[in-house]
Amino acid sequence: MEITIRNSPLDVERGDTTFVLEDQGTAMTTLILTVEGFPPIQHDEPHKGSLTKTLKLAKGTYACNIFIASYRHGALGPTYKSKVTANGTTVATAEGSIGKDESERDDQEFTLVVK
Amino acid sequence: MRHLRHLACAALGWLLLGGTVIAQEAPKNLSSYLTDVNAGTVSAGNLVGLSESAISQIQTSQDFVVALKPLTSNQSKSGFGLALTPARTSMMPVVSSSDYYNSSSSRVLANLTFSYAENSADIANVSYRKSAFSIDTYFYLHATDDPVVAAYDAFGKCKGRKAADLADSQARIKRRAAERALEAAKSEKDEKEKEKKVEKAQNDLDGAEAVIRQAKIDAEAAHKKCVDDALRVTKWNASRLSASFGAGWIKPDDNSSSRQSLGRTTTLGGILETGEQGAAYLSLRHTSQEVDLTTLGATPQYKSSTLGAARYTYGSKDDNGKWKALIEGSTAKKSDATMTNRVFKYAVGIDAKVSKGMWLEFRLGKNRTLDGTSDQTTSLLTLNLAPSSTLFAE
Repeated sequence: MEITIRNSPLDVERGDTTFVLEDQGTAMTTLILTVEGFPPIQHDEPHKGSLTKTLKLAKGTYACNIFIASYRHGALGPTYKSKVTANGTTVATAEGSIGKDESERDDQEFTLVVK
Repeated sequence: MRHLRHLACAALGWLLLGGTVIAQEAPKNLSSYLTDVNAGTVSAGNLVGLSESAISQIQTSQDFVVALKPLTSNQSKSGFGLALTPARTSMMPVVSSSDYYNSSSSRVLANLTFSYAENSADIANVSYRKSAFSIDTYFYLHATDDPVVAAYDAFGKCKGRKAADLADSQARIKRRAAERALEAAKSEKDEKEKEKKVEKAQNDLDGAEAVIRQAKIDAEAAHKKCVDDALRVTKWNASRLSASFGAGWIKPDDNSSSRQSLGRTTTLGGILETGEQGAAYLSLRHTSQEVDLTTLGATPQYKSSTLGAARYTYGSKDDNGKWKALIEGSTAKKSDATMTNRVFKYAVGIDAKVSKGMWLEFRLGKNRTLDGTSDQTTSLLTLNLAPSSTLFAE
């Protein structure tokens, strides 16, 4: 698995920042977004739909980390197609198919700049 | 020899299909979604007399099924059938997890099964070969009874896996911090301070690496246990509906005349859960353009008919219905000499799970002779294999 970071550093306005975590693959996938200074946002049920979480961010620069793990456990296919957006802008994507292992996982960093 | 050839074809088909899956490095635990609570179903087998039961067994989530009929009688010789559910293989993963989970129409699509069957029979001293194909699908009345839905739910709620993944993600953040600290320490000018900082950063890095390695092991083990536990309690008798369309043909082995239609069949079926161990099966089958078997040697006559059938099955408590006893009846008519009306008028039977993916089905009942002149007592034994249930077993 390889997570691709887009639009980093991303400038956002002060106040509410809305993050959306989703996966449209066939495998079982979990996404964990960690924004510096806040508890991790963990989405374990992408099969039920996307997870939307809003954080109130003060002015400053935030180091963020996105972790994605995809598990192979069945015949509906081993694919993952994950995406994370911040205020509607895509910041991270991962797309592919699980190889030999039971699970594949990766993490990447991106930066948010709150003005 | 001919039957051996057909069996060899079936085996070859299995190997080719299995080979395709293997070539794509199929999941080690492909069997995890394959519930082994009923004999696999080859729907096309109903059209060529492979099952002789008026009840079309509804598919469970097995992806590939081979049905062999090793014991033969004069009027119904050895036959075989194959069934494949493409979306359950890695060849054609057409439905995403969210679509499958949230949409009943996606589940219907994912459960689409294609089957093919052949059988042979002697009619008026002429040997005939019958062949048929069928397209089937089904869905669970309560989505939570669907093994795949149950597996996704189990994944989402698996506390051990969630905790291990969270530990993994946080350790990765620490690892990145330690890597940066190590780089910074290496450019420290004071040698003593440099040594101290490098050692600390290296320790932090090693600690994070250890957590990441262990978290992956723990997460995978917890995930497997959670999903396997959920699948283990999947009900064999969960209520579901099915629909099927098929067509079949019959022709003499010596090709002395052209092939005739065994009919185009539409079947609606359902299973209703009756208590913890029982299930009522209902089936309504309409067949059109079906040749009257007594006219095969002359000018073929065609008929249409509708057949209703019901079955009650009682399953043992051990291993989620390892043994099943059943009784069934149908509205098959003595007057119609068609394949449709050759099914059991009434029968009793036993299904036994011999091993993982392998079921032995025994039936004893009354049906009409092929020439339509009288009733006969028929017993049959079918060995039913869902090889991928065992092929990918760990």
